[in-house]
Amino acid sequence: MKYNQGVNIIADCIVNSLGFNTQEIFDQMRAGKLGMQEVKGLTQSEPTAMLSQIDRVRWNQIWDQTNTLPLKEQFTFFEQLMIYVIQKVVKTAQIDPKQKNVLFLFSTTKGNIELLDSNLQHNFDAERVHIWESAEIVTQYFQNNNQPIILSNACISGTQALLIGKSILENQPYEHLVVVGADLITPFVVAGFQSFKALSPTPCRPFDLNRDGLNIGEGAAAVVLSKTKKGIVSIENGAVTNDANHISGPSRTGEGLYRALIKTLKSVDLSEISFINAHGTATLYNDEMESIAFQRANLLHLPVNSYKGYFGHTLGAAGLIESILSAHALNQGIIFPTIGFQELGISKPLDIVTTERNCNKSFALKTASGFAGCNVVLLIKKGGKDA
Amino acid sequence: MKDLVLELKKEIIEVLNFEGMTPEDIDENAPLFGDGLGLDSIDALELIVLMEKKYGIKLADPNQGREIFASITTMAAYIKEHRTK
Amino acid sequence: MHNVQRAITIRNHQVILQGELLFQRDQSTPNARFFSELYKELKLTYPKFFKMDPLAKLGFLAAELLLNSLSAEEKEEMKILLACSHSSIESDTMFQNTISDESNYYPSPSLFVYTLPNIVIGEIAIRHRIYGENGLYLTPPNNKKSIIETLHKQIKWEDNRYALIGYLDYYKNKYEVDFYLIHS
Repeated sequence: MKYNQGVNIIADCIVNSLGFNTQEIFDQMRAGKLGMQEVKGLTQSEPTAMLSQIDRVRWNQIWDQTNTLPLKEQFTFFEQLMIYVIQKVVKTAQIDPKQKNVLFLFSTTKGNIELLDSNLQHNFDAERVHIWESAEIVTQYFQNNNQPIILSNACISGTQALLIGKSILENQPYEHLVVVGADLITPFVVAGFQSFKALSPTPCRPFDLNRDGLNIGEGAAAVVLSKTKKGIVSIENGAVTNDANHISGPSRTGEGLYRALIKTLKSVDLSEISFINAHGTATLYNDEMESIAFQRANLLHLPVNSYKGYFGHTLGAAGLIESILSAHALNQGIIFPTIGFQELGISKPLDIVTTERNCNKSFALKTASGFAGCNVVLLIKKGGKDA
Repeated sequence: MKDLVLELKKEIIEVLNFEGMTPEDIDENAPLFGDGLGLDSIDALELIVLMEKKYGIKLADPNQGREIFASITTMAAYIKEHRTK
Repeated sequence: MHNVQRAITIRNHQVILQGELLFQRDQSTPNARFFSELYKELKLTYPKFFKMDPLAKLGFLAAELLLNSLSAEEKEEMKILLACSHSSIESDTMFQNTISDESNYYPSPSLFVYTLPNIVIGEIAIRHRIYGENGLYLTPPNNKKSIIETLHKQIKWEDNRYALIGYLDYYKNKYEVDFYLIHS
């Protein structure tokens, strides 16, 4: 097969509650494994919380065994994760991150927010809480001298970063873009979502009749985007919109998501789309909003899934992690089920995938929506490279 | 009860940032959400915090709030009955 | 930078629209009062303004002055691309204070919602009914000129469209905003 022209994902790496590289996480998902567990005492709001945490014990082993990695004490956990995934992808892509034609693009919502907590003992100076500070430390570690781009657009950041990356590669003289996304589970974020009464005490159930909230997850991911090398998928098209409705609640009419879908789908034959990987957070309003937007865009015939039931909502990293997993699924001709889903609990009859399906169509859609009313839709196309 | 109603009005003006509003501007029998004071979902969550912080009342189910937060009067009646501080 | 139709700067309690001083207050005026007085000067009736955090108030006021001549149709598909340096640190710190003290632990949902820097874009979009592309970028304070140019370069133009691009920041009681209205 001839590889796609345009902007391609030529390397990727994910770390989250299910594992420490994309393949491991992909295999765990196919085996139906869940990454969330009950964690005691993280916040005072609730005695326990259902969270999808990265296994810290295994993380320490992995870091110590990788002898090319620097002294851990110099970096926060947030920065360590980013260094790790970047190191993996630049190696796979065989690019030199020091080169002038390589640009770094970060996406996160809260970065090192833990450092604001005066009860927490650490050796980092207060400035480290600023995300640009962290991003510069990471780019300096890789000796890249270009001013990194940092996107912080709530929960659509990771997916939107891929779209921005495509646009930069098409219009500016860079050859490769390293796109990174990371966000952590912290008492700050968990207490915030608890105050919103948005968390489920059990593994979340996207689109289900009995869904009762989301699970917070954490993770980091990186991809290398290239306009010269072939990859598993190409970034074809996409759009970002706003609901212009409410700063925290999704639009009741799905207006922003609907508009983003219409803009994105102009360029594709609907019968060539394999699946939609939705945001599917398992909150009452998000999932209902998505069903309305999909119906308005005439997409009721398309299989829909959400990965939140596997490893929770990884916030600013979610869109990147889920886009990578969708890219591999598309490339291998499978559609993941929506773990946690049993009975349709949204007003529109979406085709929610319940068991793994095979499908060899060429395109997939990734959607996400976030606070401030932002929405993103990304269209990816199967490439020629084996996963 | 009258004191509690006035106190609640002051609290609501304070925690929900109603700039320039005085307790007299709020009708204790008017709906807090929708046409009345026009509160939204974040305000409702903030009222849940107020109930706990000021009166020691924990509302686990946000849907419970709908009846309690119908008006200042209904809120005051619920607080009178259930307050622990 | 080309295609700039209008520009606004607010810093040191001075509002400068199209190069002209429009409104000012004494340096000793607290920031919150300066924002309220500017709001009143603009004769707005938008009670939601008082619920906003300082970053959102700042962006909201600047956008108000920049966009007031546009029609609803002109605003509908506008793009909003903004950058800031210290993210939502003001609200982050205030929210952190509601969870730091074990004996006074009451996490505030109305503070938490402002712990994302892009909420200011949501506030502007709601006020002006803007459904177009939007993004919030972070950048070191010494890079603010260059980030505005980067955002400008990034715009993919469709015919006859507007974009709001700019920089805003609020940190340790210092604030500034530079917004530009760009037309294709």
